[in-house]
Amino acid sequence: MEDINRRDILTGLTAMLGVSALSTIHANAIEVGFGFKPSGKNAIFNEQQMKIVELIANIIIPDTDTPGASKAGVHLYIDHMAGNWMTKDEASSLIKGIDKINTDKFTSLNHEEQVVFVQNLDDNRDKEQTYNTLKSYTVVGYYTSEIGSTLELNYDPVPGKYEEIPFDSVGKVWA
Amino acid sequence: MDNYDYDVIVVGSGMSGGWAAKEFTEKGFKVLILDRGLPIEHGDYKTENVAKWDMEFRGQHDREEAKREQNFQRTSYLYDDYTKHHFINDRENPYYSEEGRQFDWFRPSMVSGKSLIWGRQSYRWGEIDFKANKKDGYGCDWPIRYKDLEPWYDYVETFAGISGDNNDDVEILPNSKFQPPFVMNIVEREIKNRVESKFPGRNIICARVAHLTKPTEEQMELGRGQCQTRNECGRGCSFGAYFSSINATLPAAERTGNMTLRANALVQEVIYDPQTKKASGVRVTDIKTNENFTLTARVIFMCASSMSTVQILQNSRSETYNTGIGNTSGVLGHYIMDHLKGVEAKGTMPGYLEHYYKGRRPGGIYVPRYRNVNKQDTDFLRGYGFQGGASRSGWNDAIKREGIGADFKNANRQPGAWTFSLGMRGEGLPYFDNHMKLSETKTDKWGFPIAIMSTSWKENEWKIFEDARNTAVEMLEAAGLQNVVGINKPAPVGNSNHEMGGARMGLDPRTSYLNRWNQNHEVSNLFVTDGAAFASGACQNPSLTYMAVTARAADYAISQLKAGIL
Repeated sequence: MEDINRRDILTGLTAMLGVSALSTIHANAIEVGFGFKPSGKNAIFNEQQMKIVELIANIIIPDTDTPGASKAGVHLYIDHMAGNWMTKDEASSLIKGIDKINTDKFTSLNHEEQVVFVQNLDDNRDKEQTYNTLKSYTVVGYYTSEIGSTLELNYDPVPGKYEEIPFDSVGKVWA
Repeated sequence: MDNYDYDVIVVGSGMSGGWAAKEFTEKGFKVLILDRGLPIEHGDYKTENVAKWDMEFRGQHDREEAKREQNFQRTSYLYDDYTKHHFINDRENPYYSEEGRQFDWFRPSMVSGKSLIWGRQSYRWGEIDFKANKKDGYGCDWPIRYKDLEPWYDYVETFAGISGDNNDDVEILPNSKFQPPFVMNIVEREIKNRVESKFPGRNIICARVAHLTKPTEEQMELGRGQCQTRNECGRGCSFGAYFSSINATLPAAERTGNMTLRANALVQEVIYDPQTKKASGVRVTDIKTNENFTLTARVIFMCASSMSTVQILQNSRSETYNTGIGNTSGVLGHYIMDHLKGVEAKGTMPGYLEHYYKGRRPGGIYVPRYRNVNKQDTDFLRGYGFQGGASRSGWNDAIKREGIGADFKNANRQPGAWTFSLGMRGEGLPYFDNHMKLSETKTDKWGFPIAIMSTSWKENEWKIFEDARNTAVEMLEAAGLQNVVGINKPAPVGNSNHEMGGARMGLDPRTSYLNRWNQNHEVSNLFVTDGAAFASGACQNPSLTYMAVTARAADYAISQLKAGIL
């Protein structure tokens, strides 16, 4: 009964707002698997920096039964934020920090060594400003992405009504 | 209509103005409603249904742009990339506060005003609130009592739609005409039981919010539907599920065929006619074309929002009234009030980890005032209430969580512990000293004098802040919460968005601006029915009372128009 009502509501909403709203609301069903689509505006990372950010982000949030940070385009999101949202000082200090990671030959390590390297940064994250920034942006970038919201978490743009449920019935937090 | 352009001019199309327009047009009067905001139609909500990943900064606003264009508005709890266009541009619309007497003034940018972005918490004021000034001598006595407003609360609630619990039985907080409540969750119910058993006289009730949970025929006819618990209200709601003038009162007025609405219309003054001793109309500037024009009406309703209404009235100067139309009393611009905000308490509820919820409620719980109710039991006057609720945190916890890899990712799927929080809203007393005036030298780019605010909290308010913090912590600890923290960061006057006063109602024309019908004591066709009219502030959110007062005043004005008196 409730499902029927909800479908009616969605149909009504779609009629009201046009097709574009439908793709958003039904993203869960029809638009999975997309990464972040960067505008490319004010892209700021060079190839090497982009690679490092992508590797680190994907070690923090790897592929499991759902796609990880790389497939969600988190590195492109961080580049976009650095080039368009951060202040010049914030962006340049982030870029300096990324370059410093590379002086430690991060990209030449094999995957297992890279994981150990990132684990070490995480263990010392109080002192690792650049890593802390990258981790925060990775988390926000991933869980606000389409993949992170709709595949990794529970995405419920139009819940219908508030009700108590057992956690086990959903098993994951809401996006 | 004789020589008038309209029967009624309503200044402002928000919470109050929408009601004035609806009441007059439904009784057959021709109404012009003027709003300085940009035009917007119901459904024309450009960020509604836009997913975070489709927002340029995932919903975060551009900080540099916000500093430049909306340096004050950006501090609103509601301000983000989704809602920023519903707030005014501060650069084009400056106001000043006197040194050390900061007033926070959040202003909307659209037709329908703050009713588009309001908090939607809706509580009646009770007998104790309308008697407060008389009892302790602060402010002037209200010329009305609860019984005068009661039928009007019934009336506006039935139309607007207020959700709440009919089982509530709180002496000082009358129940509304409710639609079904948004239910409390298990943690809130448990805290309610513990607090109510340990503190007789303190109650925890479901929040009362202006959201449809069981729409009536009348509401559905207007295209309004049930709340979908998206909690994205500030973007606008195509369902029309929360009450706003844009989806309820204005459409009701529109369908009568008697309403003309003009956006971009900055009313600069109400014009006084010394021959008739009445207001003849308003002088307006179109903020897009800079065109200036004058419009006339038999009756003027000021509903521009408390401070804007006062600003317009203070700018309505003539030989007769050199400090503002109808201001022989000298109280215009004084006795400005707001609710005390900034004291919070929160804690963690152990257990209940198998419990969760679906949907994002528009409101959780409310703790009605319990201080100084039947007797004076503190060293301050009046009281405060709390809004709050219990919930579990989500993925944001991951920002601070240690770890990497699959384990980290899996941990982020789990909701956090239950946290419960309370945020106070307290009653600020009316003081002559809390006032506003117009700059004598500076105007905005349309030539409208800039408002200079001058407000501060005083001894009674500081005591309320302190007591609210202490009792909030005391309740949370008694309820068995852990890691209880009390936050005491009093916000400036105005910050709670509940600015009131400046053109108060009263019995005595020598000490008040309006009579018991919200009618100016001297200029009989001039009414003020927004928060400016209020003689005291209570501690409950005021919008519901703006609606009731406006509908009541319109009903009176209609009877006077029909009798040929106005």
